[in-house]
Amino acid sequence: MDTSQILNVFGIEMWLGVLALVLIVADLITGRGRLTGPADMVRLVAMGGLAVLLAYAFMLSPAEQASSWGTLDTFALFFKRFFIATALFTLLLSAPYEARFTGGRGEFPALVVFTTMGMCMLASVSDFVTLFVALELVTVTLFLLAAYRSGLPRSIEAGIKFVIIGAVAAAFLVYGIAFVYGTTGSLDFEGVRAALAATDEVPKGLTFGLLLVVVGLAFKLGAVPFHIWVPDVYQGAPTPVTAFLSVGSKAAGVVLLMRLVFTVLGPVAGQWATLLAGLAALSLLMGNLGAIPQKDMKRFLGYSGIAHAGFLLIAMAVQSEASASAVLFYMVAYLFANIAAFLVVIVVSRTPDNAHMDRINGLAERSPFLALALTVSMLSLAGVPPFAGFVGKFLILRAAVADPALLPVVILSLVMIVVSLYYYLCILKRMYFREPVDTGVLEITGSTRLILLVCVVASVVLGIYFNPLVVAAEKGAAALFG
Amino acid sequence: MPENALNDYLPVLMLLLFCVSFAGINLLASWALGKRAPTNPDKDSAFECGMQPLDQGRQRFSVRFYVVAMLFILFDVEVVFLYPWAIKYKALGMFALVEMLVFLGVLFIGWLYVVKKGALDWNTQPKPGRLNK
Amino acid sequence: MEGLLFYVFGGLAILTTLFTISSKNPVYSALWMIGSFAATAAVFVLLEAFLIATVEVLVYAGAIMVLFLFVIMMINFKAEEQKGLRLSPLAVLVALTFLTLFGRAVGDLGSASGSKPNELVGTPGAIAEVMFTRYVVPFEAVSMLLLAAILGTVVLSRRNSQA
Repeated sequence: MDTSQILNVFGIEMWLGVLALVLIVADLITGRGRLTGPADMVRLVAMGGLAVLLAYAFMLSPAEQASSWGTLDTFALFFKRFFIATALFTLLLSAPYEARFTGGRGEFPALVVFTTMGMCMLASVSDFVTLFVALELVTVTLFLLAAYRSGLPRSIEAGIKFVIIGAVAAAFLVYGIAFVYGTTGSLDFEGVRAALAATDEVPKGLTFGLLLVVVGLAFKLGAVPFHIWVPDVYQGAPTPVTAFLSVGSKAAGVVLLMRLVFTVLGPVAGQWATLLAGLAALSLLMGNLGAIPQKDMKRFLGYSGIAHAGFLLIAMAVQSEASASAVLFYMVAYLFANIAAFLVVIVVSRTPDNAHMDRINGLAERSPFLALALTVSMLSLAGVPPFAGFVGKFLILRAAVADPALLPVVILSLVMIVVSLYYYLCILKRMYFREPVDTGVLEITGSTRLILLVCVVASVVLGIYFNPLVVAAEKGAAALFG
Repeated sequence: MPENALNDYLPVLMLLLFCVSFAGINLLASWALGKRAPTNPDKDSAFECGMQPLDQGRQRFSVRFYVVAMLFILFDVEVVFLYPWAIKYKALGMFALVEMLVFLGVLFIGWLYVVKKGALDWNTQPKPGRLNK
Repeated sequence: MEGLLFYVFGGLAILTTLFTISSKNPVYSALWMIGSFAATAAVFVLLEAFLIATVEVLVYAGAIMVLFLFVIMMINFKAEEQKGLRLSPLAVLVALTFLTLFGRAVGDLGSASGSKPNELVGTPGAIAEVMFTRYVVPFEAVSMLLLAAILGTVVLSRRNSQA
């Protein structure tokens, strides 16, 4: 019961919690109890606090010894930085969007900070109880954020669909945890791993429990056949929230699935590779083929997100250190490409919040800068060299070819890359060769330019000068196998 | 030991049996002893007893009820956590007291938020929002 | 005695749950669900999980059912819209697959299912000892979860009442 030991592991989370409380109090004070106080101050406090915590996370060094509370290894630290950076981007993204929140602006940053706190906890969990509570903290706040524009039926619809699917996923997860506990008598990852390693023949109850846990996490990841919520929720949720969902929530699923697959399931890894590869193949097919007929940018990005989940699952099926580090790299590349894409969507959809693809027609004429940013983002997502997305895909496939059993999935993924190239290029065609449908003035603020610039530069730099990040990703992944 | 623990619940079981049998016997007795007349739709109709009902008996009611109910559940869950702590209060000592104070402090801010934002004000309309700019 | 009671309450739980999902009138569904919660609570008592049994009655059968009934009142089905249980073949197939997997998993529990539950685990005192020492972090996280839920309740309901 050593307090300093807990704070050692969960220090960032504690400060995030404090930050959220400060935000609520600040909202109460500045809003003077009104329904919608001025939110600029609250948002600035939130961004300042997150920036400080991001710096703190970069200074933090991993704890030497693992404690039973949780683990603060390089892997956890990598993802904590990732999550805080994502939250910071989300808040920056919400600035140009905020005029569209008709009320309750002050609570938005607080809810985002709560979600971030849960995500950071997920990066360090080492037992199923903490896992469940942290995951609920993430999902419940995301439900609220998805339904945040409750004046819009679409947003409510997204919220309700998300709640129902989220509840089903949580039910799978808890039921699985109950089976795991019932068969091993342990809620710690270490204990379950030991139970798996101890016997040659794993009890069916334990396998069943772990299967349900994996299913529960696959919902988070948006992998087929647990993907049905993705397009609807992505389309209906406020765009900054969709960006947060597509990057943060997916990464939360990734971090848990990686811990589970690479450490807990380590002793029986071989048996699970087929299942993960099957999910990967289905996600690749469904995501890429589903993206082609889409007419709404956010829905389109949702399907593309399913396809990317497929790629991440290939890496998990491989279960080598190389594949784990490839996932980390891939997530960072995905972060920058997605944030840029969603920011362009926010600007282009303007006040009516119409994200139909027509709105990006002729974007190159109206704003060459936005068109450039979206081009880089699409090419990075498609995996075209010399952008970061290419390196990510390359690293995953290089790790995957080492395992001959995965050859069919690798071939499928190569075919699907070609398919994805088609629909990403269709977006480019719309931007450069079509006449504009919407001729209104695009409001591009200074912060918008700055974020887009950061994302574009990062996508290019990481595509050419990728070594530092690859090294960092390898360090992070090594902790899982250490 | 386990037998003893369950014995505490014996009164609950007896109460349950008593309730079920009381209700069951009454229903059964009224069925067995009561007189029965042939049913007649005309006799069941409302005759010179006011208007035929225009609408369903159940009606939608204000969203405030839901807010109160939801907030009640949230604070109810909070209280559930107090219960095991109260039982072991002495044995757990200072550390758990601080933990509980943190827990309650966080939710106190939630309560403050609810009160300050007027979510439980029944009579006043929600104050009109002051927009950002 | 305990074994008999387990089967009685377990059977009641299954029966009431079946009525819950097959009732035509949603209000009846909700009422059957209270029965289901009560029977489940009784099963928890027999498993010596006293705290969970209390919570089941206090929170689920008490508070959550109120909310359920409120929501049913709000949706306010017309009589002709009330339909009972409809089975889609796909749903039946999925449920049967799940049931098969579940059955095999439970069948393989073997020795674990035969042993008595640890008599210390379920009492409120025992839970307190674990919750306030080993699981401090999730415990404090729950307070954050509840706070976020409070925020969400207020924010979402407010805009609804304005609209």
